[in-house]
Amino acid sequence: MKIGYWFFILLIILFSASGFAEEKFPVTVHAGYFGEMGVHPGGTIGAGAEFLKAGRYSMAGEFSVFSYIHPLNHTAFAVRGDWVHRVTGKRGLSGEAGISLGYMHTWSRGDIYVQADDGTIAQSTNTGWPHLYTGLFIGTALDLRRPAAMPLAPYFRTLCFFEYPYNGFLLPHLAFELGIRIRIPL
Amino acid sequence: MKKLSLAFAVLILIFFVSCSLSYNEGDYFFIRRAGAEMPVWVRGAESDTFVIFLHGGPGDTAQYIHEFYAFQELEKKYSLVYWDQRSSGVSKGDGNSETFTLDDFVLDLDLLVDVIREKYQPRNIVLLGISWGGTLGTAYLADPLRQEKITGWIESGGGHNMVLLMEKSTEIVKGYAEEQAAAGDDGLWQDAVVFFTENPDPGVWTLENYREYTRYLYAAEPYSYTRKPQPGDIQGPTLKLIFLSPMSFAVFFNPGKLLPDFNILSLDLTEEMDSITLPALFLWGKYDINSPVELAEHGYNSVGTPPDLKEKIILENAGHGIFSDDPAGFLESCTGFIEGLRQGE
Repeated sequence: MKIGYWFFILLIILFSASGFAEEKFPVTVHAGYFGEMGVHPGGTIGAGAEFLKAGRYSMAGEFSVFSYIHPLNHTAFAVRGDWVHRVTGKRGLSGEAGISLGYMHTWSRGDIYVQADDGTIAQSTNTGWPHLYTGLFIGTALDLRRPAAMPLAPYFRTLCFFEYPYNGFLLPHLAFELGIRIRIPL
Repeated sequence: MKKLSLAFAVLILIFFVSCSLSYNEGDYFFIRRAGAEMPVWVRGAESDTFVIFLHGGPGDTAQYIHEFYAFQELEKKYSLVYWDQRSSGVSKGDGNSETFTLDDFVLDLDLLVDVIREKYQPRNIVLLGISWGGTLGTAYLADPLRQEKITGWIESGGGHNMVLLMEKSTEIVKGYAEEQAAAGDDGLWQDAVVFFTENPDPGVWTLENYREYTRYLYAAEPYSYTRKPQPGDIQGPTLKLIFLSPMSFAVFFNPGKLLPDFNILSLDLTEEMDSITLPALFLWGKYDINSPVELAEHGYNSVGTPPDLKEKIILENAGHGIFSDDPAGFLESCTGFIEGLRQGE
C-alpha cells in the first residue's frame, strides 16, 4: 500500500515536471564542515545533479564523502548517496529535505590492547568497524546567482543518521553540515 | 562576499577549537576481547596506586564519573581507571549475546588488569566496585590467582548476593508502598501493592518485572535521605558531557541490548567469597534501598579476609548513590582505606 502510494506521487511529479524541463539540469559540487553533534569536527565533499524540476520544486541526487572525529571515541569515514527534495523561492532561498544511504567505517580513537595467543598483552591493529549508513536531513540554501550573480549556494543541513550495526543495534547520531555548493556549467 | 568569508572563518574556528578541547586529559585506550571493544580512561595523578572503577548497571557507563567531586579529589592522589564494560556505556562490538555472561565480564576485567600492569607497572591496584560493579569485583576476586594481582577491594552498595539484595530491597519498597497506599494514595503505590502481590518472588522476575520494580524503587528513594552534593559536584547531564566528552547515544542503547540477555537477579557469590582474603572495605549508604545496608554486613562476614584487614563503614547521610550523596564521607573512607594499604606495604 505504502509503495503504491509513493509510486503514485512519483508519477504525478514526473508528469508535472515534463513541462518545466527547458532549463539544463544543473550539476553542482559541494564542500563544507561536517560536525557530528556540531562540535566533533569533520569535512565533507561531493557532487550532485538535479534530475527533475517542476516549477519551484526540484529533485536531486547527491554523492558525498565525509569524515569526522569524535575525540576519545571514534573516527568515522563514510560515503553516501542523498535523495534530495528541494523547493526554491523567488529570491533563491531554498528549503530541502531528503534521505541518505551509504557505507560508514569507524575506528576507535586510541590504542587497542588484546591478549595474544601466548597470554601476553599486545597491541592490536585497529581495523575498525563496518556499518550501513542511513539518514534523514533537512536544510536550507541560498542560490547567490539571484542576489549576487555568483554560481554559489551556501547551504546548511541538519542530519540525523544511523550506523548499523553498533553492538547489534542501530546507533543514532546528530550532525550539521555547513558548506558551499558550486554550480558547474555543462 | 564578506558574509561568506565570515562563515568560513567561523567554521575554521569551530574546527580548531573542537580539535584542541581539553577533554583529551589522561590516557585513553581500548581493550578488545570476545567481540567487544571497550574504552579505558586513565586519569589523575601519576601515582604508584591505580584505582579501577567498576561501574554499575549492568550497562551503565564510567565516562562521566570523573565529574563527581569525590572522584576529582581521588584523582589528585591516585591514578583512576574508568572502564566501560562490554555492551555498556560507549563500548562497541558485535553485540553477541552469548558473551553476556559473568565469566566474560570477569575475563574482560582480567584483561584490563593485565593491561594496566603491563603498561604502568603500578605498585598497588585497588578495585572499587559500585552496585553491579560490586558483583563483578567479587566474582573476579573469587579466583585466588586473579586476587594476587590486586592490593585491595572496595565494595560500595554492591550486589555480591543478589538474592539477599532483592529480598531486602523489596522488603523496604513493599513496606513503603503499603504505607503510602494505606494513607490514601490510589495511584503509583496502589499499583506497587498489586505488583508485589502478583510477583512475590524476585528470584523468578523477568527484566520487565524488574523494570516495573525500579519505578517504585526510585519513587521510594527520596523519602529516605537528602542529597548533600559538594560545591562543583555534577548535578545532571551538562553541555560538556553531551558535546565535549567521549559520550554518545550508545549510553542509552547499550543497556537495552545487554539486559534482556543478562539477568543477574539470581546471582549469589556467598560461597566463593571465603576465598577472598585481601584487604577489603565495605562502604554503604545507610539509606540504600537498592542494595540495603544488610549487604555490607553480609559481605564483611562472608569474605575470608582477617578482621584486622577488613572494614565496614556505613555513611549516615547516603543512599545508593553514595559518592554523590555524601561525597566527603565517601572520599574520606576510600582515601583512608587506600592510604592504609600503601602504608602497610
